[in-house]
Amino acid sequence: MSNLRYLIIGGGPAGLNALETIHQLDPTPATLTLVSDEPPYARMALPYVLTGQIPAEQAFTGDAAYFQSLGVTTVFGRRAVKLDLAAHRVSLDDGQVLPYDRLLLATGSKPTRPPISGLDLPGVTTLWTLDDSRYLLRMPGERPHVLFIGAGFIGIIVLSALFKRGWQLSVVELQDRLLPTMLDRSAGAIVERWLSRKGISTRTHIGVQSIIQRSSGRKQALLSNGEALEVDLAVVATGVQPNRQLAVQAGLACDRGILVNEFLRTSDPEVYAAGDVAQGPDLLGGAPASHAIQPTAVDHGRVAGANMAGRRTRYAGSLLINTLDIAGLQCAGYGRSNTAQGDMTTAIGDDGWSLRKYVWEGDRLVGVTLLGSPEEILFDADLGMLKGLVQSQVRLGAWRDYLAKNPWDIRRVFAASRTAGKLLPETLLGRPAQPRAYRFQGIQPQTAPGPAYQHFAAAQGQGPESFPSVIEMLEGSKSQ
Amino acid sequence: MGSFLGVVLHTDLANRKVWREELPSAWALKYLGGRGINARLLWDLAPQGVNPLGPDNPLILGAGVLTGTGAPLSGRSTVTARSPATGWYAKSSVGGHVGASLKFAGYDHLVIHGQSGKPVYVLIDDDRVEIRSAAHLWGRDTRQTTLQIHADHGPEFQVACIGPAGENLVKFAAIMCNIHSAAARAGVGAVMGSKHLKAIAIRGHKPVSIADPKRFWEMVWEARRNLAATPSARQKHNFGTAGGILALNELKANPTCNFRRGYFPETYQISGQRMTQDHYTKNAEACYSCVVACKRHTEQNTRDFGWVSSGGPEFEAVSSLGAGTAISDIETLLKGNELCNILGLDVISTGSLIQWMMENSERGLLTPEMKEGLSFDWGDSQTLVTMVRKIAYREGIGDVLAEGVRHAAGVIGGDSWKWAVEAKGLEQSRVETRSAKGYALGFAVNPRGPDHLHTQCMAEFGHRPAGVDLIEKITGDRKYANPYLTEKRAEIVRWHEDAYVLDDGLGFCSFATSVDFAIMPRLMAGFLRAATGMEVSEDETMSAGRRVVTLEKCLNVREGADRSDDRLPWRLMNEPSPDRPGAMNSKEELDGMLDEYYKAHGWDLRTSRPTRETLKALELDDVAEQLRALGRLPEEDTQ
Amino acid sequence: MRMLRIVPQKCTGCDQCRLVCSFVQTGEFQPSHAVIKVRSFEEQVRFSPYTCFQCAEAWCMKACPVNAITIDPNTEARVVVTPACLGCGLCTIICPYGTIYVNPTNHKATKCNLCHGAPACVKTCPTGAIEFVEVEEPQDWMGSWAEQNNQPFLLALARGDYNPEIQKERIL
Repeated sequence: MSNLRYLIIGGGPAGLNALETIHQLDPTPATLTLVSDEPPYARMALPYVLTGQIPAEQAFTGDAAYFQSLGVTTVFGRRAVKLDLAAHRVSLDDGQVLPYDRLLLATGSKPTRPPISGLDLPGVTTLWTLDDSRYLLRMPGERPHVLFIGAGFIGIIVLSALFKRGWQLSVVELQDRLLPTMLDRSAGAIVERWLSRKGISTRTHIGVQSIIQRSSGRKQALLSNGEALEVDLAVVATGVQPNRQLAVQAGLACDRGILVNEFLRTSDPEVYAAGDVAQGPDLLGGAPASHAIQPTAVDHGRVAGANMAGRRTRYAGSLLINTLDIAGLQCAGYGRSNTAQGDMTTAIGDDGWSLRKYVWEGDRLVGVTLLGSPEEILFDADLGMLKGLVQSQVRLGAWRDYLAKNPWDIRRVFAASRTAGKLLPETLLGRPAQPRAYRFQGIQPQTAPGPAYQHFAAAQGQGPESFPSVIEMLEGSKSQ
Repeated sequence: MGSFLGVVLHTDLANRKVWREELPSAWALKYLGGRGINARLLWDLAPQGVNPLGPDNPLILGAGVLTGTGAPLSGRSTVTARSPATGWYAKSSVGGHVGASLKFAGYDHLVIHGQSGKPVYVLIDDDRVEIRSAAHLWGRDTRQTTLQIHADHGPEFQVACIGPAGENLVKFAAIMCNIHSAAARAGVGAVMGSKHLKAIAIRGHKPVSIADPKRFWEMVWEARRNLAATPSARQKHNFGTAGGILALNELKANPTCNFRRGYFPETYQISGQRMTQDHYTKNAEACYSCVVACKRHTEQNTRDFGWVSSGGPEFEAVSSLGAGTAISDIETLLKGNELCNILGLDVISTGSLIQWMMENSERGLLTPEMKEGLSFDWGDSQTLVTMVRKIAYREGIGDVLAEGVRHAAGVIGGDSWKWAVEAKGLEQSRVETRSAKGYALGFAVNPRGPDHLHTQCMAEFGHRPAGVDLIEKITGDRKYANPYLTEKRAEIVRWHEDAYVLDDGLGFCSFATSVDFAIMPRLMAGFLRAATGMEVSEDETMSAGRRVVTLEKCLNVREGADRSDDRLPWRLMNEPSPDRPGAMNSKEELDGMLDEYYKAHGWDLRTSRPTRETLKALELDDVAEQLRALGRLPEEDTQ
Repeated sequence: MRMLRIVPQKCTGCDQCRLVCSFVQTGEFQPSHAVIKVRSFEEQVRFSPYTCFQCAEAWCMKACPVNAITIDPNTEARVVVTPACLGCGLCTIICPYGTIYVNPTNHKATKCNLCHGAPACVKTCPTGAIEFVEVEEPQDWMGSWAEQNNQPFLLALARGDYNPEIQKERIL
């Protein structure tokens, strides 16, 4: 039983993970309150709502029963508008004032608004929220033509979702390549070539200057190269910026995001920040980084929650990791994947689409880009092992050259580097991780193997079905 | 149809074409898949008189019907072509993982047609099949080739490639699969070299299904229990196939010094037991799905050759490179075996040529020009290791030896042909047939030449109760479990021939059948039913085996084979083993067995050729017709 | 917790584990889709299987945005709740051991779930290279063995044994 009043602003993964961690460590506080302008849902699930794979309801990450079980007081549909550090209070847009002993700012990020006229026209939208998804799904017509302004991570994910719906697609990107934060130019060129093969038109190093509405209701986008593109819908995906207004106004130390230390604490001892809004330790070292990705939000939330609840927990830093399907070409990146120069090896596979790029710092791996078929990247390629190598920053010694020359042979390098041994004892919070309590429709895991297993196992008998390995003989008589 | 995919992948290296062919599902029963369908494809695709090193000799790789399933020991595959060494039928058996990868890529068989003008390799990745330049690979050994393909394409590919020996068209060049599994005999590596085909790289992601999972797994566990209860299987795991050489030596049936002796005093030094006990063996290794794991990984930082690491040496290697040459230094054999693997040479023929040369030297037939500074003394390590290379690269006298011992005897001259232990142009494998009459018959009738990969009638030794039971089942009387008897050998050989086709067709390792008696035709027929859904009895599968044996004979008949080709090497037919008094494969004895054998098969006694009636009964009417048109049916033969 | 312990020196490379793993999940033999994998070392003469460590940090579980990975109350294995999985692949890129995958056939995450307490790979492995035993914590079963079994290979690489020009001169 503690007397603490915990207040969390933001119901994304940072906020919810903080909530659960606090509840685990301090199950009966004075209050545990969550303020969120929307009922909490997984932004990462939205592309699957767009394709029709799941109903919108499946995106939600909590329900009333769930929050009740955690002892959370929920304030949804309201926005925090003022933070008073001295008085330890947050004011909401409906006039409510919420006091706190420990505050977490997990307000996330929002899409940037580029300097293009016409952004407020109907049919010009960002794709960020559940409502945005519902809006897109109500688009009339069999095969609307959608223009993507910006080819960043979010934009391409949404583009791939709409590709699955069979819509007509065009992309315009200001930088000299698609997915500029993930890819360098050679990888970007492969992606462009792939999209073009799929009938998706791409333009790089070109911007949209303005959008006007035609009398037909269609939009016309005027490009910096003089072209005019006529489309049914424009999706603005030029990046995101942290929702740091509260922090700035209150005087907390900010850079692009709210600056936090290795305990996820801001410049105020009772205020923490986590997720897209925070700018904290970078696992690969250097200046504080803003990694606006799901896993960072989760870990930020957990560490912040632990520290808020009095369990001093140091955070080693976030690692930028991403994977996405690009209309059937799978892409993955770790760390400093978009580096243009430096010590790197790039290999293109025999099919012309697979790519492996490794960025080195001495004999350590600091960045990875992968392109390939979904089967290759998500099943065959030992993708996670590369993340392990980057995460552990293990010194590869002679294996660095080997991997550079044999870019498809990761397992041997990973095993010999003994990375697993380094990472297995590490936990984020100093204890085994716990599952979250909420799942859509309360679906539970299977409890028994299927019929194929029964066939396999049923006939196994009692008697010996193998003999001992010769290794037992060799080890028993070790002479060397 | 379950694990029989019924798909042949064809590639034409001359026209750079690739196409798929669907096989009639009836072929799975008629020819039993694997080796059987390979033989049928060879009959259909190779014209009579085809030049073995020419563009029209197809190179065929076939996986078994059960290959790619969880049936234990079902990972064997067959490579088929017309042999450049003998001019007869070449069927080479290989384990490793290559057949399984072909199945997972979606094919049962692969046929390579034509010749490329420039070195190429074939890359198979499920549906993607490419013929790529191998300019950067030509000249490399099999280890370098495999590693380079793995570096370029990924380590999951199974790489079947030739080394310098295959490139140089050595008549006993091998195709090495992932370096250490060999499709070695009868020169299939030279066929690949003649096509300028450096490698075949295969990777597959597709499923292999089975029709009746309940029955299938029941048989899997039955097979596993059988194997676990079999001491010979366990011995192979512990000591490898080279673990069998000690027992042979005790029987004085251990071919030594070019088959001049049957006993080698230092056998223990080169045995599998020694390799395990002294830790040359680092681990046991398995072919695909095998639960016995008789293959070896040996490794040593040797005195004279630095670090040596390879798959093997197997029984044939220690026997041919060791006892045969009187070399007892295990490190020499490790190196010799490694060289054969990486240069791509059949270890049986290679050792055979070298020990024959040692006998030539002893008998004063070699000039200093031929020896080029090597002693060719019995037991000389330097000679062995150097000659392996010289053969692979056709250097000096190696160029003569690379043509095989029959041809080399013509060059060396004198009486050297008498101790060239070959028949049909193929060097004999390491079995003392003078004191094993069933083996003798099997070796004489083997269409590719005198070796055990056609008939492995170990049961005739009567060493094991299961073997004696088998002899009783075949002949009606346990007393025939006696290798010195010539009676009933025909029946024994015939049963084993048919069962061997079943092994090779389904992909099962013949050890499990003929050596361990653990996976017998009854169980194999059951696996075939459960895996494909076909209604087939054990008898029907053995009949299919008969059909394939006859078809293989017809492949040779088409090229003019007759009774005079079914013989054994001169030494074994004319010189008794000094360690086994009186034991010899005399012509009279062999003729008696051959008569019974041909009669049992329904083949003409005078010519050895299948009669039209026999061929019709086996539903090989079209084969009969072709032979008739060539004047090769015994009824039509007017000689 | 009972989990899979790998004894890499006993592996013969037979692939029974992958055959059986893929079979018990799908009813077909499709080793490329098994969630236990086998890697060769040296050059194709040593092998070791490897699969999910059932690690304490459960990276995959924490990464999943819709909580489609949880801990099985009976086995403590980290298991995918397949109907809830979106196939986003986040788990695949976050696992630092590379042992969770997205199956390209059904676009669902897939990983070792210890077969609900009676792992099929353990039943089938003929040499005991995979054991199902009570362990305090998972360990890097393959690490030190892999390091030893690659040293000669690395030395040979460094010596140029695989360099065609040098190799031919070196063969005696």
